Amino acid sequence: MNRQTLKQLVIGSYNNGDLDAKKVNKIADLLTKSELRLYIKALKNWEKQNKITIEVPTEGGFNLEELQDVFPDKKLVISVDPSLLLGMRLTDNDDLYEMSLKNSLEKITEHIKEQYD
Amino acid sequence: MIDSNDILKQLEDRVKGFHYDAKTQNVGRVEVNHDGVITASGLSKAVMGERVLIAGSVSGVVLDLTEDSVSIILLDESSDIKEGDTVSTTGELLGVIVSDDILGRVVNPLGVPLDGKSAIKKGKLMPLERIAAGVVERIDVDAPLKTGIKAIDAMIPIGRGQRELIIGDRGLGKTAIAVDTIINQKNLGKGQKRVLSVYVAIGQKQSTIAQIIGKLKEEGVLENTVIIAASASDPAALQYLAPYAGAAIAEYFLEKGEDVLIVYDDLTKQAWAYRQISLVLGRPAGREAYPGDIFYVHSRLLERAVRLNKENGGGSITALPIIETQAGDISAYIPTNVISITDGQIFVEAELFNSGIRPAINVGFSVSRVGSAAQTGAMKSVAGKMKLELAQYRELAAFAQFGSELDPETSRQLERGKRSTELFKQNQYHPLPEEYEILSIIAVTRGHLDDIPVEDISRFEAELHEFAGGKKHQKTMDRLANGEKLKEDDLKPVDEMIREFKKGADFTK
Repeated sequence: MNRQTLKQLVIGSYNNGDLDAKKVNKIADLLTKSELRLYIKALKNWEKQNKITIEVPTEGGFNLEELQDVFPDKKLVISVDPSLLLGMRLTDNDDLYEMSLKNSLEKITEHIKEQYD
Repeated sequence: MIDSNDILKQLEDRVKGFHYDAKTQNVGRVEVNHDGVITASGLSKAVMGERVLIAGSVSGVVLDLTEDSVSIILLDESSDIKEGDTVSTTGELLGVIVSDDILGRVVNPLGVPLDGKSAIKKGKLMPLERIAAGVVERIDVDAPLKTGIKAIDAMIPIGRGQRELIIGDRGLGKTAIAVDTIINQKNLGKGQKRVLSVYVAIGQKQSTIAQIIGKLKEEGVLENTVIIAASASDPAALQYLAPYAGAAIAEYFLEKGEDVLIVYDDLTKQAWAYRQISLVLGRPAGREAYPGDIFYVHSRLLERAVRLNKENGGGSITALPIIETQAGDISAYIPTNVISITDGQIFVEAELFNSGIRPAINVGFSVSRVGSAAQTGAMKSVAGKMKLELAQYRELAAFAQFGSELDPETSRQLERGKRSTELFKQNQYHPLPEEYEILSIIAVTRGHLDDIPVEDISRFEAELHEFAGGKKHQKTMDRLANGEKLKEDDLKPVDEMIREFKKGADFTK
């Protein structure tokens, strides 16, 4: 199975941006064990590439629609991480952006340590 | 008293030094942790040689980039790392922080102190991997680097900026030659620049490393030496990186115009560590299961030995790599590779070692491609004759084995050869200043030892040195020490001195 075929299978597994269980099972039945492994890996990668995880300290408190406008082609997934204190952490595929109070405090601690060592 | 304005300015500077930016990182996930080698997905922006953090605390370095995964070698213990842990890039290439404070210290290849003293935090970050100086920045090797070992300084001279391999089986005194050379750097000749030393211990027992440190301390040379230790119990990654860390530290001093001696003890173990990493990474195995780029691993390291021209500071890095052979086989893969990279080799042989010749240097197989260019005029004028006489002796000795009757001249040459061989024996940790080496060579080449029994040569030499060290002969010895070419007139007082010594002692047959 070449890359092109694999990509077509992955695109074909989605229905209106959501993974379609029926289609996935149908494709999986037709694949050999090694092909199935590649298919699962490709699906995971596709999911990662088309999803943005937003971690916030508390539920609500920000405008999801505004963020959706910034990333129109991606699916936004919200999760709660109270350790952030304030702000948010955004993961886009393998890029991580953190604008949180926790990060600021860590940076200040690091700076003070460097100054006084 | 510090002015209040100054205090406020210092505080303001500290505030200015703090920049708050949102944290941006390229991240990935651990897929496989295999014997110190991590395969991670993601990390699409990682670069070769970049330092990464696994699970927020464990350091690693990127060694392989493929389309959808990255291979990382761990620089710390790996037992806690599990599948799914986060891996994040740091944007830093692997390096070691170096300042003048590193002299006299024992550190690991990442600059972490192993001697219980405080870490070196302020200094210059020297990258472990660096392209060696180009041809335009270099000059010929023509200044001697004295080992204090008669056989080497006379017949296989080493120059500052040279790469001289020490090769031989285990337990034959390879490390001893290197350690003696470090110790000898305290015996500087007149007008010679100091030489700092870097000793890189790779895959050795901790006890051996401790012993070497103890000896250097005892001899008072540790304060001019940096020890980089990646012992047998350290991860393979550290053993692979140790020589590069040594080169990085040497380059810091090179940039300051210093002359540096670096000992890689030994590169066989580094090759083993690299082979282990490469096999775990799944790279194709070649001869003796080493990866295809093993030659480049050593050549790019040893190419960093250099003698810079005056415009570039005039410093030098002299490399003494050590290679361990199996059963004296110098035609194995790694030995032949390193022999071809270096500017000569000192071959130590089991047969010589077992027959009591120590250092067990096989002069026939040893060579210095820099040659007499790396000798002082004084040494050059006495060593040439010595080399010729020894070569003739070796040839005659082979013929004499047939037991045929020998003419008086041949017998004389054989007897002289035996005494020369005996004279080149030297105790460990007793490197000699150049004037004493020259004195010994003059003694044998000008026939002063011809009437001394072979078994008394060592005692004769030791007592002669003691005699020559007296105030009375200071002028004669100073002449030998000043490095200038020796003429017949200069040798007469030396002959006189030896004759005087012989009169006062009973050594004759």
